[in-house]
Formats: sequence, structure tokens, C-alpha cells
Amino acid sequence: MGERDGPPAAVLYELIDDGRVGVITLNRPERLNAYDITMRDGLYEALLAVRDDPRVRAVILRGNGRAFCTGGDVAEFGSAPSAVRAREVRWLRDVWGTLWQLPAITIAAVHGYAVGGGFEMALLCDQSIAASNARFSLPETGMGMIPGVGGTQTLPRLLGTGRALDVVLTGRWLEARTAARLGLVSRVVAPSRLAAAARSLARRVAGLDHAALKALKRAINDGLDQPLEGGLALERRLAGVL
Amino acid sequence: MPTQLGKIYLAPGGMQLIVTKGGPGTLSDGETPLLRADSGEKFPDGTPAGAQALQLGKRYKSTDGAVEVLVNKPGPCDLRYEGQPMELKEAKPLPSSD
Repeated sequence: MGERDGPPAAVLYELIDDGRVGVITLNRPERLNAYDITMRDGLYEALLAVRDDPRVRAVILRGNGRAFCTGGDVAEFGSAPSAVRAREVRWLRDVWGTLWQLPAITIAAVHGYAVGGGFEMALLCDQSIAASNARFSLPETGMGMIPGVGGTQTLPRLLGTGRALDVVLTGRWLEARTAARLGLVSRVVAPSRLAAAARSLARRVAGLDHAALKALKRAINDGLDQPLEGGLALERRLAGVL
Repeated sequence: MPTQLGKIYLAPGGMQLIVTKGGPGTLSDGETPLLRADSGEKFPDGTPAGAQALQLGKRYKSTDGAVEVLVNKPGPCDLRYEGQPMELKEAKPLPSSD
């Protein structure tokens, strides 16, 4: 996870602001941060560290090099021992479920390419800030696959089914400003301002009341999975214990 | 001093950890017991720190696996539980799922 002897770690993890803000950096710049086994294991370890450290109120997910993340490393495609084993591995190392369920507020700081699973990682975060050079695409359908990092669920929740299907079926590129117009990212900033913008948001979030933050995240995320009546009841319950 | 779940402990060299699985025994840096962060106590000046560099986000377990800690501030520490060196907890190797 950190850098020690041997090759650079595929994921770097640091804490800033007296431990209240975590920064997770995808670190395979020579492969445009393609997601392989080493990144999977490093990211999982970092996410568990965030989950188990109650000081951490916000976490920034970013990439080193020219891309945020270009999704699954094609060099590993087809290397799972079997479909059954692949399913077991995804269950044993549930990176995406862990990211989605973190109590800390998650902020994706996206620059360059965010493709496939890389795009979907950002969609799993609570907030995304994009550099103006960010480009998003979900090309899986054209490769005989479907998005497998939650995209079939997160994208329609943000766009509605029609526009989500358009993005997935066409695999077309979305420029940063288009992504912002569609509501997939909350802000677009100059590339030189991306790190500062993400840190500023994280610091602001980290300064808010922790219990209120957790309740807010739960009310919004869990509430969306319920009929309005159930969501309103959930909000009442959460507000009542603050 | 018991090792309490969810509590943060400090080592003389500045390393800090949080307990993710507690137990009745004592955490120490070599022979020096770690201090609970909420105790208000401080190490006397000149308290020696261990030589092993513990990394942020890494987990260590007691020899029987009953006690586990998560490093949330890196630093030097010869981490022990009940006098026995704690082991780096490595994730089980798993193949690609693609």
C-alpha cells in the first residue's frame, strides 16, 4: 500500500488534516492506472483502513499519472481460474461494496481517462470533481461484457434508465463538462486546481458533525432504494437520534 | 492493561494504532507499554522507540490471531502483545476475477 522495498505499490494511502482526511492514490501510471490484482488488493486494504479508522471523515480517491483509471487491466482478462472461482473472489474481496458502504464521505478527483471500471469507481463515490481534461466512457458492452463495478446500478440512479442505456450501449466518450451537465460530476475545475478543489471539499466535509454526516449519507443512499414513504420514515428516524 | 477494541494507542516514537480486535493483554513497543490516546498520559522524555517502521494502513495480529490492530499513524515500534512480537497480517492471495 505504501512505498517500501521492491516495486512501487499499486495503491498509496495517506492521511492528512490530523487524520481526518484519507487520500487513496491509484498508482500504476505506466498502465494508465489499469485495475489489476495488485491494485485490487491495495485498494481493498486502504478502504478497510478507512472503514476501521473512526477519525477519517472524508476520503479522496485519485490517480497518479495521465489517467484517473482505465478500468480492468486487459492483460488479466480471461485469467480467472473459473467462473465459480471468479464469483467467489469477488465475494471474498468485495472492493466495490466496501467503497459504497464507507461511513466516510468519498470524493473522486478525476482527471484524464476514466474508463470502464475507472468511471464506475467515480460513480460509487459520494462526490466527483473532474478536471476539464477528464473523459469518461463505459465501453464494456462493445466488448461483449457489461459494466461490473456497479455501473449498471449507479448510472441509472443518476441519469434515469434511458440516458444510462444511451451511455452504456454506445460507449461514447463524455467530456468533463458533459458529465457535469448530466449530473455525473458535481464540479469541473482546471487540471491544476483538481487536487486543491478535492482537498478543500474534503476538509469542509471533515469539519462537519460526524454523526450528522453518517446520518445524511445513510438517508440519501438507503432512502433511494425505498419508496418515498419508506425514505421519509428513514429520514425521520435518523433525524430523531441526532 | 487490556487491549480495548476501538481504542487508539500511542507508541513512544509517534506510531499510533487502533485496536480492531481486543484482548486482555498488553500492547507494547519492546518493553514499553503503549499508552491509550485518551488517557492523557505521556511518555517520559527519552523513552526509546523500537526500530521497526510500521506503515500506515497495515494490520498486525497477535501470534494466536486473537488480537488485531490497524496502524493509523506510521512510525517506529517493535510491536508486541503480551511480550510476543505481533505479525504483519497479510491478505490471503486470490486470483483475478476477470
